[in-house]
Amino acid sequence: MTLSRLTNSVRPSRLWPWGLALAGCLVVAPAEGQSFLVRDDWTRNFRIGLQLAFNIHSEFSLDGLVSIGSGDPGATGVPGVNHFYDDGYVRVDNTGNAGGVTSFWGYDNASQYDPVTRTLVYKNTRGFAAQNDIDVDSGATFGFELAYGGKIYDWRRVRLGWEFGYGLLPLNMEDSSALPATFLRVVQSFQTGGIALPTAPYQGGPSGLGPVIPDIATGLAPEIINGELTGSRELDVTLHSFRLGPTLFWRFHRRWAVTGGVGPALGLLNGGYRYNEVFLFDDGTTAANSGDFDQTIFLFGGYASGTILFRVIANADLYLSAQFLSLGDVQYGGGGRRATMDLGRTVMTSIGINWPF
Amino acid sequence: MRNWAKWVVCCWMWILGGGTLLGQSDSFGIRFGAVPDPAFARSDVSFTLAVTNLTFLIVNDVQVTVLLQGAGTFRSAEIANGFATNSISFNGETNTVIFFLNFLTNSGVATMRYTFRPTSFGEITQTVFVQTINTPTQSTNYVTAVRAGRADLTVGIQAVPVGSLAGDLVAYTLAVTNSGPDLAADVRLTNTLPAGLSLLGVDPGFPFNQRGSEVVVRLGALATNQGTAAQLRVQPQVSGALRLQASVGAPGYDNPAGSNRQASATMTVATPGPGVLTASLVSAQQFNPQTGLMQQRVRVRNVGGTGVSATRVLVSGLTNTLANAQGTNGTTPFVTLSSPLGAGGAEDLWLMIFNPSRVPGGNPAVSALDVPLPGPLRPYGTNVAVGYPQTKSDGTVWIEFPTTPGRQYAVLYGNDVQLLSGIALPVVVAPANRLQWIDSGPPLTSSSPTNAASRMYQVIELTWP
Repeated sequence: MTLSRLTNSVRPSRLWPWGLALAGCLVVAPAEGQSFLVRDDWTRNFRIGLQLAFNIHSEFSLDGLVSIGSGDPGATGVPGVNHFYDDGYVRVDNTGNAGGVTSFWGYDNASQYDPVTRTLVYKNTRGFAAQNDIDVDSGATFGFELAYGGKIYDWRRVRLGWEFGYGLLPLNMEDSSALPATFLRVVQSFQTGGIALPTAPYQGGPSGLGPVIPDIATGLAPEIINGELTGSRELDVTLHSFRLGPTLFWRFHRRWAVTGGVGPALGLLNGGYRYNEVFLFDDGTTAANSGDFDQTIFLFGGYASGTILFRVIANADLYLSAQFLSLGDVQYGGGGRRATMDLGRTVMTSIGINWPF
Repeated sequence: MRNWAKWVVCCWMWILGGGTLLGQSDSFGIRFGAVPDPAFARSDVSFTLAVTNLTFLIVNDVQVTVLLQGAGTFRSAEIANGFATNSISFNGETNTVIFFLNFLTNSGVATMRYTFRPTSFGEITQTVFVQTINTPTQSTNYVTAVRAGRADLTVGIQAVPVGSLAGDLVAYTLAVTNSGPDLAADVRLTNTLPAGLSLLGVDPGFPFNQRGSEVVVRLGALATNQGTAAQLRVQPQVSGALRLQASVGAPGYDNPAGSNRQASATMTVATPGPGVLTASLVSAQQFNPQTGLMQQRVRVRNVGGTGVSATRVLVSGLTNTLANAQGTNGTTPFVTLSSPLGAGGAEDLWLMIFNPSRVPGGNPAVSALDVPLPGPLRPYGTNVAVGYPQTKSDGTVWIEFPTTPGRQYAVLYGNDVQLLSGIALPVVVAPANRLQWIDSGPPLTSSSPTNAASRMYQVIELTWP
């Protein structure tokens, strides 16, 4: 099943000051009637501008049994090993669990204690199954771009040139939908040795002092329980794009000109997939689960761009540009989790200032 | 040459000489003033120089040069009917202020003012040179003290141990406050140890040095209306009244209120009383899973003819830690029965031993002494909410409270809300986020809770010491 989100989860861009600066430039730009000599004898140009990117999508999916690697419940029936659970821990204290007991234990809920058998029951979620396939649109994302170019040949109003561009685009897409899920929990129990338990939640320390319990876990039947998966899964990456290609410039009016270019592009993605989830079990208990898959990924593709320039003063233009950038798909995840970011049809517009020199 | 011509030449030479031909030693009188005097670091000090022409005639082109030495910043200089310049040496330590005056009439006074802001306490040394074309250079030196500031520092001696014996490891507290108005930098606490009292250390980690009986503890900076305290760990070598003396100060700071920067107190070191007591182990060591400690019962008997107010049980020969030790004499830990024991009477106490192997260790050797009643001590700290005490079937009373692992907690107890019995020793370092505190009677408290008509508790998270 494919779900579409109507709202995006783009964080407020940190680049809005660029927009303000650019707006300021526009306000102070001279009026059309002001006269100066427009000369296209420049050999180099540099431009900087605010960029707005669209049409970036990510698909978050959970498929099959999603494994949970954190919090090893440890082996049963053996002493002197660490046990970690959703609702507590029984670990090896500084004495090495001398006498078969440990002070380094804790539990979260009074319901974990069975006063009849004098045991503490712990649970550890090892995985869950949830069906999720959701498409998240980044919406409009702010970035900025720099470009540097030069002239190769000049036919007066028409010029052949080249341009190298760099763009920085922070991207954040989040899936925070609550999903029904089925959880698999390992269940283990410990004798309490007849001590009076401290009130829950209790977190004992490793010193060996304080109430101690026997450290051997007894394995009970694993538990399959329904519940709800809440929290968030997000892609938090920064796209650095580099492009280089030929350009064709045409001045069709004393102040107006257009330029276009095509060429190869290189993308560098920093960041990754992060999840911060809370499991709400039907029995009223909860567990937290978080982690990430961070990596740096190189992408190759191409671009095509068109720019219209308006000469404001003798040596500065305002420009408005549109760019199509295709870098393909990139995939993050593992262990039943996947997030695929589609960077194959990215449309970027930018507005800024161009200096020919 | 004619006589009148000789007379004119003689007068002209006299003018050029500024009158010195008449044997006058100084051509100028110099008056120097500083406001405020002494000056204060980081505050402007205004200097005034009044130069008086002591010759009989007008002197021209008077130059007054002030070489001012001291860390600080030159602020301004002014003179009426002249002008002033300033230069600073490359290291910033010497400021030269030069005043020029076109002329100064006979008996005329030229007043020069300049301002300086010292950056640190110490002294400002100034050499003033007055010179003209035709008079010898006249110089004078002036020194102005610079105070670091004004800080009303007071010291008090607190928590002086009561009921200790020679050889006990004890501690007392020196509390210092600064009532301002300025921050006091480098506050130094000087403590004079009486003969027979050895210093073991200073907490919490203040640097100190000891020369003979004088211990100087450097407390660092103390802001206005702030206080700090140092705890001195000491060991009395002799019994008797030992007089403790302390004083506080900060180099370069004035004491505006004239408050008492000194304090004294007497620590009385007792000798064991005449009571005849015995101690013996009456149980084997047993592991208590509720506390994580080995526990062993010891019985003290008063076999003498008179009652004693308190009994100290010394525990020697342990290879592990006596977890409920209330003090140490030399290297021997002890617990104290802090209730009277009449002639022929007996009382049982628990020894709590932390043995990492959690199996019985070697039995300790125990002995008992007749000692004065210790304390009571009143700790500094914040109250901790305590659940309702639970009386167990074995006669113990349990209280449980939230804790921060690693922090120290003291339980005050008593028969009523005044909690006159003071702290139940020892103070506990929390090993977990909750603490089960079990009143099982001596030596933790003066008697078994079952024998008390009523017992109330208060828990304090210690902030000091």
